[in-house]
Amino acid sequence: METTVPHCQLPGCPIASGGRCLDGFEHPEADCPNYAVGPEHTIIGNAAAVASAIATTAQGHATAGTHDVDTVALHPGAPLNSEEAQQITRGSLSRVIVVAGMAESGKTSLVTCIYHKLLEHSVADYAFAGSLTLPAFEERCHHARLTSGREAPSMPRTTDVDAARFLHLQLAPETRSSDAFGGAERASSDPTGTVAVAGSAGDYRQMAARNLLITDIAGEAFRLARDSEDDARRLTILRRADRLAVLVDGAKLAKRTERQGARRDVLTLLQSLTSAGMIDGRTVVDIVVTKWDLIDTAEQREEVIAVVDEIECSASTQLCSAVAKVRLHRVAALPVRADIELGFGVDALLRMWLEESYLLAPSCGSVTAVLPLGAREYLRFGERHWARFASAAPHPA
Amino acid sequence: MTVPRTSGAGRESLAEGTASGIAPQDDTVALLAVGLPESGKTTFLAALWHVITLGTLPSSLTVDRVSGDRTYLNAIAHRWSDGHALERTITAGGATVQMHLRYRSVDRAFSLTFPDLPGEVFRDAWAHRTWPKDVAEMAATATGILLFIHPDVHEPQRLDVLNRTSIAGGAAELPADATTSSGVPSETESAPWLPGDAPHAVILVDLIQAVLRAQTASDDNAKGESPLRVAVVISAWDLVDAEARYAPQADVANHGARMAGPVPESPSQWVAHRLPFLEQFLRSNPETIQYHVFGVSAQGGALDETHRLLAAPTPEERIRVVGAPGAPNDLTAVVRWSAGGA
Repeated sequence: METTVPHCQLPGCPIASGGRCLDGFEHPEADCPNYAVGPEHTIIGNAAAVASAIATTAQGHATAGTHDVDTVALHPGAPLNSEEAQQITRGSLSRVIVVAGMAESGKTSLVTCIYHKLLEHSVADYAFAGSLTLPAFEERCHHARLTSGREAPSMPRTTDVDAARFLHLQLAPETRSSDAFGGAERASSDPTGTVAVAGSAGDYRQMAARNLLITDIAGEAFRLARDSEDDARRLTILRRADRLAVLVDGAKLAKRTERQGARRDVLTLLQSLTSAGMIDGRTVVDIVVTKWDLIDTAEQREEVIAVVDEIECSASTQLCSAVAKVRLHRVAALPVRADIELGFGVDALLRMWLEESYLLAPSCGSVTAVLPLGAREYLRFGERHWARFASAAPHPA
Repeated sequence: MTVPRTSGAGRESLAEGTASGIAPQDDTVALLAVGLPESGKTTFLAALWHVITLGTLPSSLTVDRVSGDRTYLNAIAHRWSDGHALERTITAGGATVQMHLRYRSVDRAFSLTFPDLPGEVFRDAWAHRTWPKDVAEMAATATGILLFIHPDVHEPQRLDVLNRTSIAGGAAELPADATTSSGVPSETESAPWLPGDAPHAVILVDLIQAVLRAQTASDDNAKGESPLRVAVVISAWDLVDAEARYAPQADVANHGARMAGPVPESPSQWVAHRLPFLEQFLRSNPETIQYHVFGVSAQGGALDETHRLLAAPTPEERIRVVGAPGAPNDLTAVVRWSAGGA
């Protein structure tokens, strides 16, 4: 059996040699995001190397399981675990989005809607640039396709309550592919065989492809978190999230007998997460009202909209000093009516996920700022790569 | 055995490249033909082998010599030249053949390997997340890939698109079971997901990503830091041509809204129109991918039109290549581009 040792992704951390955690965690095996056990591996420097490292890990898993020396494992394509996600966030511009909500509130529909739209065209001026979890997306989309044998689309229930898993998308700004790099096909006909790289370091942020890591957590986990701060504290991924998207089930809001319950679900969940310290002044909270097409056609449409407005107001009041920002979004991932576009509201939500970042806000710390313990991954990435952003104008928040 | 040079007729008809524009630095070109079953890989290779060894039309490449066992390549070229269907590739063929080629326009030679792998290898890589070790090594050391796509691509239809109701005015009459706009309750059983149900564009992207990861992880990456050259080859381009000529208004019922409107003219437009997911991926990774789209009809038409196929004096005159500079039937232009030439 292979010997595993503790080690750390941060260069110079003495934990591998029996010393203390460089970040000061008393219990790094539980709290430090850089802590891992296993064979020592190198610091990941770029997304390609990230994928390579993940592929190597997959290879190890595959050969260990099958004992087939004549085959090589590919990346499994399953949702990423926390370690795999961290390898991405450390090496490239990334956004970690926690999609929260009760069962059947539309979490999976929302995420697969983004994927479905990308299958057809770029979304919110971002083009698809890669994904480590294509099979996972495809499996989730299956139930909304003719090949499922169904007559109407549905989404599979997410069952994993305990472990945080991530679906991955890499998206590139449209301006990057056409202007900054002169278009790949123009480059391909360039007799020098080189690819023009335009722009200064200040343009890097605008042109850089972004990795989107979206959680795939069962609604049951959020029901438990709503009812118990202890269970809320188990959602440790929230400490590393750029954004928390809390879904409000529009179908329930559209029914008078379920409206107030849906309202309570979102407000009590936010209350529990705040009390448990899982969201703080660096969290951007999106309140996402799903299935907006059903609200738009509800008999008490005006009543429902008033409740939605009240949810936004209550959440903003409740969280005003606790989180960075609260935003309300209205989406309809799979609207039944033909006059409502597929993925209504999803483009605007995706753009905010990709472009709004605490890291890029004017108030973000200086180059010499000392990172607090338990600092989120985007801050660590920013510190390591600050030189690239130093000349960039602050991105409007 | 020295293979006679392909005799050329007339002037060099290709766009001039510059010596400095021909990459890679070393003279070894290893192309990996990637594609799902029946995507046209073997037909292309058969036609290419014929053109390189016996072709009489102008081409951008000539052959200096060939080393290795040519049995497989001769067999498929023989069948191709007679207009016969090529049997499904069961095992890798031609893996040991090395073609020593030379550019006509500049004094530069390179050695080319081009193994013919069964499409099932790539289909199974997507489905089972493993591929044979020798394929992994080919992927790791490839300087370019030829991505073969048959125009009859698989695009699964979405239920929400099919079921969307139209309204004349006022509130829509929703399905009785539409308690949510996600559709029927989840206890209704779905047929199990099969990897083969995935859109071809998704599978092809996954395969390219697998090649890139193999190269990143390998110490033997022959192309170094250069982007991977991806020649997208739309095979059976004659079918696309025919669709454009006889069906200018697309069949919306079969292909959905995306196909409405005029059929694209160029291979690049075809990929952007029919495989937007793949097209986005290719153009959004300029640091790691250089790509070009070719439309190729290596057979020259449907196999049941044998009398027409065999009417040409030489089989290479059946070939059609769109999207490449030079002669319209110069299949070597695809190889030339893949090898780093203009």
